[in-house]
Amino acid sequence: MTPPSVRNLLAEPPLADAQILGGSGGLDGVPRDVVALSDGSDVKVARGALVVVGPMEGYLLEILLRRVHDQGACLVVSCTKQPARHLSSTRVLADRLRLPFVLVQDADPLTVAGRLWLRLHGAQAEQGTTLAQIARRLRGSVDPSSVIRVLNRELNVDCALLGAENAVLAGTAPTRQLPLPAREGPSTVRDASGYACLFPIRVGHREPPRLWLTAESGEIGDGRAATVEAALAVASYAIAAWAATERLESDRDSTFQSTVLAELLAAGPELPAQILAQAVAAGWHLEGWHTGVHFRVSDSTDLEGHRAYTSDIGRTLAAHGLVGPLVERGDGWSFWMTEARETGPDGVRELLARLDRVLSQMTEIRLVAGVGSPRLGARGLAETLTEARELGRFAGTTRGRQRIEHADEMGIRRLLAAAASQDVRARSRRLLAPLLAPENADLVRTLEAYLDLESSASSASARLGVHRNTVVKRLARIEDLLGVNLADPEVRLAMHIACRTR
Amino acid sequence: MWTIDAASLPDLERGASLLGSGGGGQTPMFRMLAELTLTKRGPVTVLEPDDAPTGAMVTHVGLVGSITAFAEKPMGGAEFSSAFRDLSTIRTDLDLVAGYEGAGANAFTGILVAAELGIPLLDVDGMGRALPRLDQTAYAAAGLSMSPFTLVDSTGNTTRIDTGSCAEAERLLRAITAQMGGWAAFAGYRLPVREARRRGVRGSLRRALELGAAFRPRADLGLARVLAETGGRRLGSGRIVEVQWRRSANVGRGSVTVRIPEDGRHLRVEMQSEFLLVIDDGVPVASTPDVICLLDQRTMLPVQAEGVTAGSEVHVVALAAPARWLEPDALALVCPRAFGYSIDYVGDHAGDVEP
Repeated sequence: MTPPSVRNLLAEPPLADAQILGGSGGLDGVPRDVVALSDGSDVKVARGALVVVGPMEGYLLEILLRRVHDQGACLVVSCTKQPARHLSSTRVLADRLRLPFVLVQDADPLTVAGRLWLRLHGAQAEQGTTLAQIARRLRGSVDPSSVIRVLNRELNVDCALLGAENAVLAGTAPTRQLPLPAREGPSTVRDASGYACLFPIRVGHREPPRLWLTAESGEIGDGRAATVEAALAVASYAIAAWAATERLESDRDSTFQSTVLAELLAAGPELPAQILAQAVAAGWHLEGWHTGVHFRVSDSTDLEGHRAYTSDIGRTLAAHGLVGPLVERGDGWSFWMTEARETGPDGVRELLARLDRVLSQMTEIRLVAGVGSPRLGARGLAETLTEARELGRFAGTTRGRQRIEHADEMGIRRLLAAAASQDVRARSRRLLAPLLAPENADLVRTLEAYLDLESSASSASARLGVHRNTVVKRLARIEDLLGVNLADPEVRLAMHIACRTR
Repeated sequence: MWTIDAASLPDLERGASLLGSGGGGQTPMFRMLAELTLTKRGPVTVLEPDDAPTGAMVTHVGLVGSITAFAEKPMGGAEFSSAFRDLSTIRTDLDLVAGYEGAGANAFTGILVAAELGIPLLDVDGMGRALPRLDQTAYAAAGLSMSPFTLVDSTGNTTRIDTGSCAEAERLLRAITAQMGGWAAFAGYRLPVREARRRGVRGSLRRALELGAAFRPRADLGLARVLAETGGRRLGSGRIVEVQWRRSANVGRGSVTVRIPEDGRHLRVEMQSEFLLVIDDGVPVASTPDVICLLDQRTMLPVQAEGVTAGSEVHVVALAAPARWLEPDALALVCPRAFGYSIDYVGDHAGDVEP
C-alpha cells in the first residue's frame, strides 16, 4: 500500500480547497505522521511530520516553519476561521525551505488533523484494533478449534489448522491444494479465486514446521492481507502453546504409565496398594477380564526411534474399535482390552482379525504382535501381558513366521514359550554355535526350513528357492559341523527347539 | 566631569536617534530648543555617576505622551524646569537632574533643565534606549518608586501624583497626559545618587555622543567600519518590500519585510513603537532589548518605525542592549515577552543572560 504524498493529500479532502502559499518544491514528500500544534515555540516533531496549526501570528509561523523543517517535517497546514494575510517573507521562507505551506480557511485545526491522521493511519488503526480483539479472545482458547473459530469470526476469512500431508486438524479443509512450505515465515497465494495465506508453526527447536495455519478468502486488499498475516502470527503462538502442552502431557503420561506397568508386572501375587492407586491414576480398570497384546517392531531394535509412532498406533487401534491402554515398554508396546466377561473363542478371533488389519495399516514400521489369553483381575493382567510378550517373540514377518502369535486353546505356544527360558536359549546358542558365524547364515536358514517342513529336503528346497541337491549337501555339512545325526528324531526335536529359541 | 555645548548637539541627536531603535520621537525640535538654551546659558556640566556627591538626590525629567502632539502644540517656556522644581525646592544645592529615557527626543530634556537652572546633569537614566512606557525603567525593575512625580502642561498646570506602584503611576499618568493635551513635562524618579548609580543605566549620553560621532556623515562612511567601531551587527541590507500594521488592544503592531538581494531571502522585522524583533529565514536573530535600527542606505540615518515605507533601501542593524537590561532583575521588563511576543531574548548576549 503506497502511502500518500503531500501532492496526493492536497488533491483530496480535507485539503482539496487548501491554498498553497509556498514551498511547492516539496510536494513529493511523504508524510508519516500528523501533529497538531497550538504554539510554535519549542516544538518537537518527528521526521516526515505533517504539522497542522491553528491561527498563529506571522512571525511565530515563520519560526515554526524553520523549526519543523529542520526536524524533517514535510507539510505545514494552517487552519484559520478568518482569512489571514501572510507577508511575502512567509511565502519566500516556505519556498526557500521547499516546505509546502498551505492555508485552509474556516476549518478547525484539530478536525483537520484528525481527518489527516485517519487518512495516514486508518489501515494501521484498524489492524491494531483487530489484532487486539483477537489477542483478547484467544486468551480463553485452549484448543485449535476455538482458535480457528476466533480467527474466522474476527477476520471474516476461512481458516484451518493443517498437519502433515494437508491433514485438517481444525477448521474446514482449504478449497485450494496448498503446498505446505517447510521454511520459516508466511507465504501467500493470490490467484483467480482470491487470496490465501499459509503460516508455518514450529513447536520444537531445530524441528521443521509440522503445523500450518491457513487463511483463505476472496480477493482482498493489501491492507486486509497484512492484517490477516499479522493475525495468523498472533494465533500461531496460541497453536504452538497448545501443541507444546499436548506433547508435554503425553510425554509425562507415557513415562508414568510405563513405570506403573513395569511395577505391576514385577510385583508378586499380592499387589501393593500403592501400585493399585497408581494404576487408577493412570486410568486403568484392573478388575474384569483382560486380553493382553504385545507389539514390537520385527526388524529393528531401535525402539527410541519408534517412540514417535506411539500415538499413531493408538489412533489406528481406536480406528478399528480396539480401545484400551497402550504403554511403551522396553522392547515395544503393551496394549490390553478389558471386558466385564471372559472373551469367548469368537471374540478372540474377532480381535485377531482386527489386529491383523491394524498391522497391515501400519505401513511405516513392520509391527508384529503377540496376543495373550483372557485373564481375570490385576494378577490376570500381568499374566496375559507377560504371555503376550513371550508369544510376541515368536511372531515375525519372514516366511514361515506369523505376524500375530496368539495363545491357542491347547496351550502349545504356552509350552513352547515356557521352553524358551533364558537357560534354554543360552544352551540353544551353544548348540548351534558353529552355524552362527555370519558366513553360515544359509546353513541355519536351511536347517530351520528343513525341520519346519516335516524334514523334507524337497519342501525345503522349494521354500528356499535352491536345488534339492543343494539342501542335501547343506544338511550333510550341518551334521558335519555340529557332529550330529539328523536322522535321529530326538536330535531333530532338540535342533528344532534350538532354532526357535536361539 | 565633562560638558555639553551647542556644538556637540548634532552628534548627540544622531546617536540618540539610533538608541531610539525606531522610536523615541522626532529629535529636531528638541535639538533646536537645546541649541537655543545652550547658546544663551552656556555649556552644561555633565557628572559621571561616580563623580556625583554621594548625599545628592537626582530627579529624572522628560516628555511623556506624544512627540507628535508636542510638535502641534509647542511648549510655552520652562515646563521641564517647573516640573523639576516642583519636586526639589527644598535642597537645591544637592539636587541633580537627569533624563529618564536617554534616547530619542528625551535625550535633550535633561540638558534643557540643567542649562536653565544652572545645575549639573548626571549621565544616568532609566532606559538607555527608547521604550514605550514610563514603568519600563531599570529603576522600576529594581523596585524603586516613580512617585512622587509631577506633570506640567504647556499652560503651566501642575499635577503632582503620589502612588504606590509604577504600573499604577503609568496608568494615571496616561489618563492625565491625555487631558493635558497629549503631552506633558514629567519629573519623577527622585532618587539618592547611590541608588541611581547602582540601579540606573549609566553613560547613555556619552554612548549617544560616541554613536553620533561614528555615524557622522562623511565621504567614506562605510557600514562595516562604523559597526566595527560601535560593536553593532549587520543583519542584512535590502529593499523594504512590505509594511503591514495591525490593530491590537493597546498598541499598533506592525511587520516589515526586507528582501535581501544576494540570495532572495526576506528579513522580517516586528515593530510596535520601536523595532523589537528580527527573524531571518525563520530564525530569530535579534530582539529587544538589543537596539534594532533600520538605517537609510543613502543617509545612514535611522528610520522611525512609524515612518517606515515600502520601497526604501535600508540596512538592518542591531546595537548592543544597555548592559543593565541584561541583568536578571531587569530583562523580563523589556524582553520580547514584555511586548507580547512568545519568544525569549535573542541577541549578542542572549547566552550570558540567566533565565
